Amino acid sequence: MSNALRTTRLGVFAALAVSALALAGCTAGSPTGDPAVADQVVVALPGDIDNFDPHTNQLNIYQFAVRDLVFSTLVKYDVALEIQPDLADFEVNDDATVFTFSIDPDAVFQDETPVNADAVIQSLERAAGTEGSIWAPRLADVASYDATDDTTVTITLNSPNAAFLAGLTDIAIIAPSNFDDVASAPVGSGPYSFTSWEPNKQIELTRFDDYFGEAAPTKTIIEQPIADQQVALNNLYSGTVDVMTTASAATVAQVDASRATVVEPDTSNSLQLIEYNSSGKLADPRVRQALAYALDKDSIQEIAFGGGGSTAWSPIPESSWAYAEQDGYPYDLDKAKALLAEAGVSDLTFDLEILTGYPEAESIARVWQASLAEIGVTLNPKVEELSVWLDKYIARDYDATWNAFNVGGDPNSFFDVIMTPHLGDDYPNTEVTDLVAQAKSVSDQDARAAIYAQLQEIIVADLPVMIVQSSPVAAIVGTKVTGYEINPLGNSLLAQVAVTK
Amino acid sequence: MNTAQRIGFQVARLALVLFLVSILVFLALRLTPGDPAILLLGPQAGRDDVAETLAALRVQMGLDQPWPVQYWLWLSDLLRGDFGESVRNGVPVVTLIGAAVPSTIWLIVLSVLVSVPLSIVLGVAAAARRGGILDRAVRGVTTVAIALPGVWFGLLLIILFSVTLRVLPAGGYVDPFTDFGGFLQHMILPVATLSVFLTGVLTRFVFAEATDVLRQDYMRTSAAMGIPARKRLFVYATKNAVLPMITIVGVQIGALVGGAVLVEAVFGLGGLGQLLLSSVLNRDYQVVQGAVLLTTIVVLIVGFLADIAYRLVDPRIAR
Amino acid sequence: MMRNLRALGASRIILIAVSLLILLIAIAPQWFTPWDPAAIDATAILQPPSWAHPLGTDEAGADVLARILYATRLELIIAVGSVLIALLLGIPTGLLAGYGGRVVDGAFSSVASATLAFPLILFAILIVASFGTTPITLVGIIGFLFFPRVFLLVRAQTLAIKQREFVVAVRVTGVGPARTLVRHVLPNAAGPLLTLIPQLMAEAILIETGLSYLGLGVQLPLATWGTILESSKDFYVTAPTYAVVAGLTITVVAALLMWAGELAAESSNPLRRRRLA
Repeated sequence: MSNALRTTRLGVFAALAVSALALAGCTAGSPTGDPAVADQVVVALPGDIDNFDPHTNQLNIYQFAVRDLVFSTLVKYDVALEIQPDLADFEVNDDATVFTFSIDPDAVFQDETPVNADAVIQSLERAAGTEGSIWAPRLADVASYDATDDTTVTITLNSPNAAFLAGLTDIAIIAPSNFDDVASAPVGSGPYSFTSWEPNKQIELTRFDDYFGEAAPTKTIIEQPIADQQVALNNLYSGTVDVMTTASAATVAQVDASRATVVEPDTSNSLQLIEYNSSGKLADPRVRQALAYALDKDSIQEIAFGGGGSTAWSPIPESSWAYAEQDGYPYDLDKAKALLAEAGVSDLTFDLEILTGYPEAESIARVWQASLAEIGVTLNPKVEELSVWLDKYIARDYDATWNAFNVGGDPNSFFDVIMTPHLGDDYPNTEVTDLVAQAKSVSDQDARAAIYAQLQEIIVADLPVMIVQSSPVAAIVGTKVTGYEINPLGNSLLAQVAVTK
Repeated sequence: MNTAQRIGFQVARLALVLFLVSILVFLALRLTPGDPAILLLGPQAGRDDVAETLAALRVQMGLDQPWPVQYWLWLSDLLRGDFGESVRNGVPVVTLIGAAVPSTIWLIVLSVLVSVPLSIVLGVAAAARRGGILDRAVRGVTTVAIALPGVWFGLLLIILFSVTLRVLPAGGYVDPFTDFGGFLQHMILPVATLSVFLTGVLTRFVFAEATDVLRQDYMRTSAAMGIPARKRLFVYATKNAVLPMITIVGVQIGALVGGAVLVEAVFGLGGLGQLLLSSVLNRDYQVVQGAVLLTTIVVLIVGFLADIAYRLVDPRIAR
Repeated sequence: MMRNLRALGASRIILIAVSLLILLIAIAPQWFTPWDPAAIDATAILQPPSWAHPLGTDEAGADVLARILYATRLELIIAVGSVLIALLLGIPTGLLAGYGGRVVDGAFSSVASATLAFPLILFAILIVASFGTTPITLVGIIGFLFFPRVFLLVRAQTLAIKQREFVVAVRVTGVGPARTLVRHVLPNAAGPLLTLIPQLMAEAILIETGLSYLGLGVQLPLATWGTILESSKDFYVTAPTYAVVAGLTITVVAALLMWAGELAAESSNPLRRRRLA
């Protein structure tokens, strides 16, 4: 019996060896393109992507790993978060109600059909429609889409919206024939076309040679989900991975500079904050202020963020034109106690919902919990998986919740995404609502900045949400990698990435 | 009860278990908080101006139907061989499972292929030298092997072989038909991690059986017949050990799959375990239901076959 | 008394001593370390072992040794609790299945098979999602996973005893079936059960470690060795002691438990005891 077992095992291995030899002759063909760079770049992603429809998937990882490579948008952000033309040059009228887009005549979809005004409008209407698009609110103001000629689209709004262009940066233009299959096999007009997806193993993208914009240097991009950063880093060192798009402070601290390079943007727009339910236990603003005085931001910065990021209190990132510095609440347990006493609150206990998989959030909770214990407040951190956290977040079934948010290039995004749900529910502040609408409708940037300054003051004073800090953003690339950039949102710009040989 | 009837009875039981499991997984998913449509759209799903989109999405995903209707639709498709599609991207469930399963199967199969011969050798050798240092060493080492947390051991292997010595990759999966050398390189550490536990379990068993065999009467008979001691021990001990080992491996399949999930997580192999984990977290009902049912079928069949093999070969076992 | 102690043998004495030590640590961890495991210190992050911190500090500046010691209690609760659930579920069902007819046995065995086949990961995620990651849910999940094994063992014992002559003899004398079971099956099953229990406890610890690694373990402020290992895994390059110590504790305690199971097996099996002589 044991002999039979041994023979079988040998037989299996022999068969495998033979087939391997046979297939060895069928490896990939000769390289094309620029001979000085490798055919292929391997990118390590922090997680897998399983939904490729740009109108329903708003995750950052999807945006930079697939959307920005496979699709074009009418306008896009550059690495400094300034709006630039992508598919079209644009003109805006004085009061930001009419937007005219001149589509690049060379623009073509990866299925060979032209990107004309009709195709663009079809995508916009799909994104604005309510059959299944997360971007519908961004296009809610639109009165009409007009194809004034074959390559010109004019969009007219019902009311002025200075942030309209910023909103368009997320709305990808899909090939009209692809609407039904876009979630599994997307077709756009970007520099790379989608080749294949092996769940939890890799996504393969191939250079689109008829791309209307700057040609990409690398023929194939392979993206692999590697959740464990140590594994990704080790693979980077050994050369099986070229780019690691997301690296925590802990990982960055141990990078061997001779074997890999850390890439960081100048600033980070990646905020971590606490959102309160201002109609519950924590309804009294003095209580929220007390909790803010008990937030030891310096310790949190050291422990949760490796000393990086910015501890500013404002919800608008420091790099933004609208940033107005706020004094906030310097760490002071005595003041915290005094405020609690003033509010007549003692033995306060509240829950903090945290999403699993974010060690910084758990560290924040750990530090805050220790400080709060010293002033007689009990914090109960509750780490939960995505669906549970999401359900609670949407239903506002929480006392306080941690959240992470990347503030886009336009400050309106913070108020639109984070504040609007609160304004309509637990924090009905008409002054804020009016100011937000005003800031959106005024075209002059200085005037807008003044309004946002007011808003920042109110938010930091009232604390319907509390900004903990902006988290440091970093990527790690191999020493031979060129053309890689990362923007303040933590999004990698991969269109020009190459590995020199 | 003759063999045919017995097998028929077993098949009926298998069908019953599958039915129970299908209801169990269907209900468990529906009773747990979490809505696949909300998960797809993310935190924006709560906005008033997205409410219509959310409702449309739920209809598209079939979530607006009452549960018995959903179950019936799923079951009738299933009986026709259609496992459905992922609610998130429309990819057929069998395609997703088919893409995820190979690395898991390779991992488990290679681990079994490594563990079985290794444990036979170690167990028999230890039994032969009873009382010596090898005996105590084997007992001690197997205890540690079983007590070792797989995730920790995997990390230690990565530290040693990938970070310090830099001779093996730290994770990832390479298709064996594309790059067999790379496939082997990437599988060495994961297989080593999963095999440690299984080898520990099997070695102890082989050791116990071999020791028992040493005492059997026919061992003395064959000694009287002049067959050399070592050959006697090896042949007869192995023969008696391998049969029950089939059953043990069959029983351990469940634990092996669980262990494989963890090893896949440590080494980023992206197999069935990862598919199950991510689709449960995303409440991708069709994928979870299909994957669970498929896994159950495989596990039950393996156990069933092991049981039959054992009964067929060893007629001493009564009902 | 000394003669009794010596009769136990060196291995048993060591095992008992270590078990008592672990129990003591679980009851009163503050006797073994001056540090508060919840005391964070941003100036002392991830330090290597020193006189002040024998096993170094973690990512929040807390003393690693203190964290491990204080986590002992919860770890033991999970190990013991899950085995209790397994026994509570497995013994009655095993007795019924063994003693009852083919139908009853078939029904119970089918449920046990279904439980064995159902992937633990899925079960764990769903339970955790519904009820939260608390020690109770962990104990329930692991206990449910173990119960088929207790069931099978008790069922096998019951079947074996059912056929033994002295049970028949007892029934002839008029004693009822239930009392027969309890009085004869349970004591006979006790031996194998005593072997299985420490084994299951060790496995409970290992399963909890695995679940923690996947993010399904207990959450702050509670901590188990599994969650400590899980949080150490991000730092094993810069602070290897942290990760090594967490895993080592799990390995050592699990191994001790398995060893205890082995010793129990030897005690209950006279043949085996003779072999060791």
